[in-house]
Amino acid sequence: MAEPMVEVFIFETRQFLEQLEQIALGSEEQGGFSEEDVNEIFRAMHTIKGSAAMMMFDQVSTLAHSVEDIFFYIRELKPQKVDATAITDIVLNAVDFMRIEMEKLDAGGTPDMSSEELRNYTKDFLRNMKLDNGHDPDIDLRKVKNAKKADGAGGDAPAPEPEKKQQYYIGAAKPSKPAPVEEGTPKGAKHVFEATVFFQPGCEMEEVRAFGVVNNLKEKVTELHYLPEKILEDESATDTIRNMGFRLFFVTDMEKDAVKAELDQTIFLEKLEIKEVANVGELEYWPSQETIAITALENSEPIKPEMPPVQRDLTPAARPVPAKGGEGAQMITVRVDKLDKLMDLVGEMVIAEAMVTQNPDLKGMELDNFSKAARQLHKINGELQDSVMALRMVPLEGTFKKMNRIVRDMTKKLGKKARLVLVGESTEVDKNINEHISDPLMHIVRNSVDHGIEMPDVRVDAGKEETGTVILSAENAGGEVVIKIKDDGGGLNKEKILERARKNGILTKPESELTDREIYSFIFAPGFSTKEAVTEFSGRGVGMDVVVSNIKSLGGKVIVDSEPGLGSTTTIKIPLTLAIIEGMSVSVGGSRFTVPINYISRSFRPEEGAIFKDPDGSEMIMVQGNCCPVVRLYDMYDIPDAIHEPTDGILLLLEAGEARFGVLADELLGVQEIVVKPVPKYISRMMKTTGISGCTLLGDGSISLIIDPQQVHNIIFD
Amino acid sequence: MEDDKLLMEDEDTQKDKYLTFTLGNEVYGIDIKVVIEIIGIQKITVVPEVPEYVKGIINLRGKIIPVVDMHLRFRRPGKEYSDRTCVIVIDVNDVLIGLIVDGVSEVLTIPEKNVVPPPDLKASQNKYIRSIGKIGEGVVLLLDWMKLFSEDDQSLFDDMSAEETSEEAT
Repeated sequence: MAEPMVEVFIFETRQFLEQLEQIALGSEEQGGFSEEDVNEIFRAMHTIKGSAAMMMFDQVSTLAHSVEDIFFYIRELKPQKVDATAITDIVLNAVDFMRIEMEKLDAGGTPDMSSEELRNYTKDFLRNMKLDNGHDPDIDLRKVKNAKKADGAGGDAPAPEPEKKQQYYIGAAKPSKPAPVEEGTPKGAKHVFEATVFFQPGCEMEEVRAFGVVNNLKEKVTELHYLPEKILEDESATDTIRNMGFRLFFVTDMEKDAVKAELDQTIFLEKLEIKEVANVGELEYWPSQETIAITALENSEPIKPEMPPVQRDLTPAARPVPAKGGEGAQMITVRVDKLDKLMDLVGEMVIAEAMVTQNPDLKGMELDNFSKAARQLHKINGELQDSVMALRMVPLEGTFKKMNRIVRDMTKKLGKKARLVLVGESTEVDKNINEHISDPLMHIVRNSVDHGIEMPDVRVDAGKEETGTVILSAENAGGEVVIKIKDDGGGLNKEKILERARKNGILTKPESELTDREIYSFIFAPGFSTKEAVTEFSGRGVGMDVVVSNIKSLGGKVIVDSEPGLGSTTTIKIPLTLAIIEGMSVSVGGSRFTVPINYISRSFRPEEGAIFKDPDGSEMIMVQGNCCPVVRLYDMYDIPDAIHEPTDGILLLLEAGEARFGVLADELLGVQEIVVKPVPKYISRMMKTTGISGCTLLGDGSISLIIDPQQVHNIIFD
Repeated sequence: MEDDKLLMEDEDTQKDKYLTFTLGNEVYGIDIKVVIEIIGIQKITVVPEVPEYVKGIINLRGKIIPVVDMHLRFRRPGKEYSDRTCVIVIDVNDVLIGLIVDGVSEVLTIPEKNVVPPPDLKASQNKYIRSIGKIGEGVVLLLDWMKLFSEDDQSLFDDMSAEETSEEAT
């Protein structure tokens, strides 16, 4: 696991990268960058640059710097000719680069890939763009900007303004630190210094380096102020530092030599001036306690790297703009494992509640008040459970928007035209599901564009709009989320699929008996591809089988429908949540079993002679004209003392996929919300083919084994 | 860092301390540091397709843990459970397992000098015995709890750690 600081850095940078990608894609669609977009991108790049430099990831920060320059240029000089596509490419390339570096960092490596190529390309591009727009390619934008400002202010140089301006008081977030005496030298052998740091000309990013100096120093001094005050936020700061040096005022117990040694370590240091004064009153710049207090209030967001990592987890979710008491201030970022823990506890509570209210000691007692109170408890517990579940729910939006990028990249490379329409992206699913759905969706969307959408001329010939459409939609339906990927392409070629299936030898029954859906589902078989040529995106036949296995692991299913010439639709159905399910518990002898309720189609007591045997001894029953196999649980799990006579027991009719089968148990115990717990590994590795997928605790504290109808089905039918 | 230090101290105070329990006529000992707690025998849920010595799973305050009958584990005839029967819950590399024994006796300190390796008998089951401790006139068979999980499940921890890393990687 990475260090907390690094972790936060990765987290924030990733958020910015996602944001950048979205803005860039959106701008390209609109054919240009709105002022707001430019500002957003500029800000995001600026922040990445700053924090990457703080973490000493120079490759990342310099790349961010070069991209930032482009947007700085656009923002300041508002050039006429802006090639939105080319700029989007640059931004996306930079985003990709940084993303890879973040991955590396996350895996415990160092982001050391050289960004020089990208950087040079970006610089050249900017140069050309400046020339195209008739500007001097070597123009120093920051100077231009400051000059403008100076004009407005009546010709004054943008020198640091006195007190009134906001400043950061480093250390404001540490209340434990004793407040220094307002006037005069603070007690003890404190020394007051005034230092000016000059950076080497051309070292670039002076403001970030200045920030580094502050960061190094603040651990060793009692109180520290500096000019310019807002080094990272104010773009003119760079210029000020460049021309007038970076000025530090601080109180410390270090001697002058120690201070000098400390500051001498600064990278790219050109010149250092240190002056010791008698007390803070003699300093040119020393804000009073009141100013500090006011500023601390005004700065709703404390300076970032100041905060201890633990606290970071609770800070308002990273946003590009410090929230001004708006909705952003209401957000907190919480570690997922804390939520998991909470979820576990709520699960325990659900069980504990049942243990109390269904306690055998209470049996047969008249307890009016108790049941009233118990009902109330049940209601509150239910609400609590729902709220905790809701905490883990995240909208599919992020995952859906990622698909934009895929469609864009693919259409560009394949020479096709397609747009992605998102519907219902605010639908919420469990965080786990959201994470696991991303890969399958990507494969399906890729497939739709690669195999589904035709080339523009083919589309026009077929009387369709030149630009194809892929609709990605999500909706809640009962306890499930239904995600559909619909394209208006050529549809699946049934003949081709059949032919391929024949070749691969995966036909399970005579061709004439196959339904359309069954034929289409062959595309999910491993190694299946009807495409002759392998492209960068698809055709290798890997992928679609991953889709199915991923979705199955989430307890979901995939269905493909297609109409020749009109396109195909892939439907994914997944349960909303995995942790708590509704289950029907049954007893067999002394054992308890639980079956997820959505698999049970009905339960009944079989009539005398309803169950019959075939010559092999396999039992079956006629239900609604269909013949269904029957398994006796006591037989399957070797349980003594169970009811052997079907007419005394109960038959659960289970549905797994297309097949139905009966399971014979002794008695129904009732429906209950159950918390799925894995079977201990020690045991689960000994039992492989038992049809048991987990266990749960019942109200009386006993353990019930959860039956997975799908697995039982496989046992019966193989 | 501090955790490590604490752990070290913790382990130090637990050094040479063994929980002794009876199984038939013998007295066995198990390192106190792996013992989580001792509970009375309780309702065991049987699970299918496991070796006979794995009696099933029990609910330990919401945690589900497997229990192993030590008589059967040592390939001896099983014994009826009584109210003396105990389950010793041990934690080996974060795997919790309950050992069903005839009864627990006490916690003993057996200094290293009183511990001797077992004789190298081919026919014996002493692969489960790490060493033998001398206490006055009697002896205590000290369990090698790592091997308890084995023959076929020796690889359990390797497997599991491999699984965990692969899970992290994905």
